[in-house]
Amino acid sequence: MIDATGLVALPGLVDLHTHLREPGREDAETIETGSRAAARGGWTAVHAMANTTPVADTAGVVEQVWSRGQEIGLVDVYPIGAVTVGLKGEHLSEMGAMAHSKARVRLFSDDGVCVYDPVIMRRALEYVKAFDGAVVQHAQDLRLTEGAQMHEGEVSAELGLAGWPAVAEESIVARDALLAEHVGSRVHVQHLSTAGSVEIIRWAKGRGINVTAEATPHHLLLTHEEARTYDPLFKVNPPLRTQTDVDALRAAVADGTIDIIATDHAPHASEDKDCEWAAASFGMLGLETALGIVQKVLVDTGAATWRDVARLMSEAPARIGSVDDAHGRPLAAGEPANITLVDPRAAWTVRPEDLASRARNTPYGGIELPGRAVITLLRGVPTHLDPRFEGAFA
Amino acid sequence: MSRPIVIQNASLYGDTVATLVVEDGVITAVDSDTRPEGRS
Repeated sequence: MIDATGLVALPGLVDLHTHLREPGREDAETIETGSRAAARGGWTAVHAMANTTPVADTAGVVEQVWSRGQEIGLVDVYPIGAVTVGLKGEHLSEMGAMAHSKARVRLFSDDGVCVYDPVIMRRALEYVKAFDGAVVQHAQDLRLTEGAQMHEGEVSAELGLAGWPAVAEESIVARDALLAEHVGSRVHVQHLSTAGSVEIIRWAKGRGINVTAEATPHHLLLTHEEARTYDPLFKVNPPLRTQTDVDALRAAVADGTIDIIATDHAPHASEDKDCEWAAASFGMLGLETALGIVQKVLVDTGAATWRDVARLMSEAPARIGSVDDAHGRPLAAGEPANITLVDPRAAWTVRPEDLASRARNTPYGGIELPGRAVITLLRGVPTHLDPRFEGAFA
Repeated sequence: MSRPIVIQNASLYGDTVATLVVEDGVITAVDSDTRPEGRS
């Protein structure tokens, strides 16, 4: 018997944007350490991005990732296949073979780089229709962001860092919405970061285009002012933007324009972050802190309810990822027991050394978050237990 | 058959207090007392 008085029960969380780094960069993260971090964060399923070494652009690689996830058994790991061979943007990958593999891939992304060529993007959108898939786009105009280090604005000018203009994201979001409309396909836009992108998504949805969008916890909390520290922990792609952008993203999450919250959990080895800003890699950890940040910026401010959180972090991502037969299900009799129990009063201070990830590149070290997952069940099996509940499962 | 897990007094979606019973990987019962969260 578990006394869950004061705990909120949600369907197990589903992350549509996770970097597990295996195969290839096991010094930064493995499927095992990433799965453990996910379970601690309340996730029961994650979608693993394709920018591994080798790239997940064949059935062999995605089957390896899927099988390793099942073997570890802490979360269901759903591989995302690359759109193009080697993420080079030149030739479509073996999308059909990945879709028909035992990994049953439905989402395709070159995340980390944009599918920049509009003809390639159009063909990918047409191709995924055959198996009800979607193209997941990292919206970044490559020419407008050559050498870019942070959001283009007053702060970048003061710091002397090359700017990353909002239009570099917005122009691709608009192009891809129109391409999806033109070929009657489905596009999902990753990590929206600007108020302008929000307006374009709102316009596209109003027009009936089959487009969905995500926001990350860090883009809902942090601004480009953090770059004044020159701490590369705040260096991320797309970059942290202005407070106006943060406010627009929060409003769009609240009104449903943005469909989901996804972590873009991006572990990096210390040598890739513990260096000067310009030399550092883009990205930050997110799996273990996402729920606390969402509570802080959305629930505790009254912008969203826990029922909204269930939609944003479980039901909608499961539907977009086509895994809604197993995840994002109602908390009802007969449904799979993928359950996250949240203690909204369990304030905790983030200590990088205590995180389950192999990497340590969290920008939230020393920050207090208001709540956290205390029990995660995957098909009824506890994959994360706060110590106070261990006795109940002994 | 695994031992049932009984989760008592959970606030489903932050809305309604209920008891969940889990057996063999499936939610087998949700016994809601329809109390709105925050009231006893």
